Amino acid sequence: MQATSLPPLTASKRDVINFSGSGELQTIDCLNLLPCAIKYDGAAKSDTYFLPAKQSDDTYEASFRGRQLFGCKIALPSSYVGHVIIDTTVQSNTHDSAFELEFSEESAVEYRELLSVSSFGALTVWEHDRVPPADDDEFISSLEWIDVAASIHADCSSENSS
Amino acid sequence: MLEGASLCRPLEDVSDEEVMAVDHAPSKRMKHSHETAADSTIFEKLGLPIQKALTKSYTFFSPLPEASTDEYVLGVDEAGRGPVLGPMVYATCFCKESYYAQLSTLGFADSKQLNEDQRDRLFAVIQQDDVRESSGWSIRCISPQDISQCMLRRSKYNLNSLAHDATIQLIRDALDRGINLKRVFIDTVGPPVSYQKKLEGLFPGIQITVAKKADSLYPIVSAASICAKVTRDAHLSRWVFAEAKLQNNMSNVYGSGYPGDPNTIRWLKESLDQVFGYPGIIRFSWSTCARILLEQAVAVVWADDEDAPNNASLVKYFAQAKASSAAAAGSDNPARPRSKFFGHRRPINISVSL
Repeated sequence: MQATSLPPLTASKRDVINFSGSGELQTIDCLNLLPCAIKYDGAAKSDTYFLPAKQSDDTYEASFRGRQLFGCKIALPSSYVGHVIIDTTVQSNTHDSAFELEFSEESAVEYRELLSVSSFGALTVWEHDRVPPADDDEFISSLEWIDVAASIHADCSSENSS
Repeated sequence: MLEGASLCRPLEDVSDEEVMAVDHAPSKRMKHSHETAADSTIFEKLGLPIQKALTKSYTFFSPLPEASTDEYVLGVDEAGRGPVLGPMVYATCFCKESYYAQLSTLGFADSKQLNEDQRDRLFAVIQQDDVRESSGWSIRCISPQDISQCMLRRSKYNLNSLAHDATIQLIRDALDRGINLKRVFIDTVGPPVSYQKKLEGLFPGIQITVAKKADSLYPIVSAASICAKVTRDAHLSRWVFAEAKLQNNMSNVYGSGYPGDPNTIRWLKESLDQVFGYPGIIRFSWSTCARILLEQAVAVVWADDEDAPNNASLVKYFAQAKASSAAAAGSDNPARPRSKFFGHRRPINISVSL
């Protein structure tokens, strides 16, 4: 089977994201961010094959395709909520065009309709061969950015700028 | 009887693998039994973890002869190095020099010429009380998961290193338990001379002989070979899946487990999971598996893959899809490297109308 490479579903300014869903969002606590790119979207037998073992308070150990992974549970910054989003755009002509983000004269899709299907407040971040959080892990850094940005843009009228 | 303290190292000396040091008082020594190794109770009586899922490697020592200053001869051999599945087991068998001649008459020959029944019978003989008075054995059972993980590390730890380290650890463990080793015979697949020099450096005072096909030359190595093979077969024939849901659903007709065996290849192709590949019984580091995964499973790219696109492409894979506008290109001006916060898993600012 030839695995086709699909870009991840990332939102752009042209997408419409529906966060309310049809009702209350189900919170999930089993999100895992793996240190690899799996070029596949679809169902996977995680509960059969992915068996994290708790090592200490927030550290886990698991194996994926023979590689040893260490994971730690990361909570999102307190004022943030995570959402799992799927593409519900109906006008796509082919499967691939659903991911076509370039505005093209041939495509009838000007924007995608995305739907939030569940929310999460924490996820487990996994590293290959080293225990997270690693200093140079960019995902965790990007979460830290939220706090840094808040500090940068905070009101500092009480301080002298220099 | 050896004191318990000298048999067990302090917990902090024990690596993260399970170490099972069986310390039997004389009254608890296993009675002479006609059971063959094919019967699982022989392993349960010994205390081998045959009924648990084998995810982590472990070391096991048989009950030992009474403490003495007797000189010992020790043989090392392995089982399961070549197959694509199951554990690789390193084993030692050791006996008093004064007993070696007698041990040699018990029927140990080139273990590869023995069939399974003969091996099982000889393994049972090794457990007999009269044999056990002057001998013992040990194994280092390296789980297939550990083999995969070691060989797929970011700093690779290859199979030879695994093999050498298991051997060295077993010899050290025997010495730590008060076995006065004078001669050691080791079977090798790699070059004997350099390996022998390495071991002589580590164990001065012991006469080390490293030879190819040592199991056909030295009965003590043949005995070790039997311990290794019987243990590996015991685990493999009763394999307990850590992936519990597979226990009754996955065929256990693996063939010989060797990459050249068409039955094994067929099992590998039929049992493939598109995302996860295989359960932990399989050694993912074997090129056989890597090839099947490449051809038939979904692609998975790791940062350190030789086949991975170069860094720029990897960044592009995760990055926000580039709009064709110049503004976007401008913000990625490579002349000014971006802060680490904006690496490939960077936050993207999108405005949301509520």
